[in-house]
Amino acid sequence: MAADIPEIREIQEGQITTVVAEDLEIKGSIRFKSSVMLKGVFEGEIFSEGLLVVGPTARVTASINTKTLISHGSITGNVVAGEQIVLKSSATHNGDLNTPFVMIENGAVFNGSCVMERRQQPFMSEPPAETTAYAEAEPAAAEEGSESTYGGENEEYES
Amino acid sequence: MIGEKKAATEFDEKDITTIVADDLEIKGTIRFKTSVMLKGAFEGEIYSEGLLVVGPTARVNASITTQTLVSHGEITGNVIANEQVTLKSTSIHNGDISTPNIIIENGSVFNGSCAMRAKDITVR
Repeated sequence: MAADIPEIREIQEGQITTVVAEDLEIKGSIRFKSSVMLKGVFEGEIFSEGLLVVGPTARVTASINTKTLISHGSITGNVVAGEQIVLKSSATHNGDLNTPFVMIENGAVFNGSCVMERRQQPFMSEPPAETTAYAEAEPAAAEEGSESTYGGENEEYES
Repeated sequence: MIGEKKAATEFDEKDITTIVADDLEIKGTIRFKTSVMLKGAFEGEIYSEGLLVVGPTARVNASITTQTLVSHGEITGNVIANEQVTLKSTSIHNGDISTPNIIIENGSVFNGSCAMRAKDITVR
């Protein structure tokens, strides 16, 4: 299947596991797996396997490594997201973005570079035919090739 | 004022401004003014002008300065509380405590020294 664009759902605050209120200042590193909403001031590093939401009152100065980022506030720092980055209209982002999918709303401020790498090729119409093209190099190096998953086509490379 | 001391130990989770869930690990410094409940792992320093609650699943390795501390979990480090410290029955505390009021419930583990800056000494 073609790489699906991840849906951008509106996240209700009640669904977020941890909400860090506005009066908190945290300096240091945070690791988490589910979801965090930051409304206060944060400085440091964030490592996440889940969803990070930066609220409108938040001021985050950090290098962020997460699966999904939704920003309504101010972020200074580089972000690497495995799935998606969403910069909402009140967001200010100074730093680089590295993610397969990004959405920047009208009104957001973004200063930095954006690199988008996608693992799956999105435009292949016949995946089986295409992948054998890439598998050709490996059986040639293996020399035995008796266990070939692509039957007839690999026989050409058994010498 | 006596009513306030009871309120410090009996609270609703909904009244707490920030609850840090148990999958979070934080290393560093936290400052806050209202209330925080830690359920995850924390290492570093905590400066608070309000209420700090350490949940039963929490492992805190920190020097803590706060108004009020209620601990159900594990704390390693020194605590300075300007109002009260409550160590509940599931709590483990390794470190020194300095506070005017302290409650240590039956079942809690406390290793360390306790210095009470005395205004009212009420030990229950």
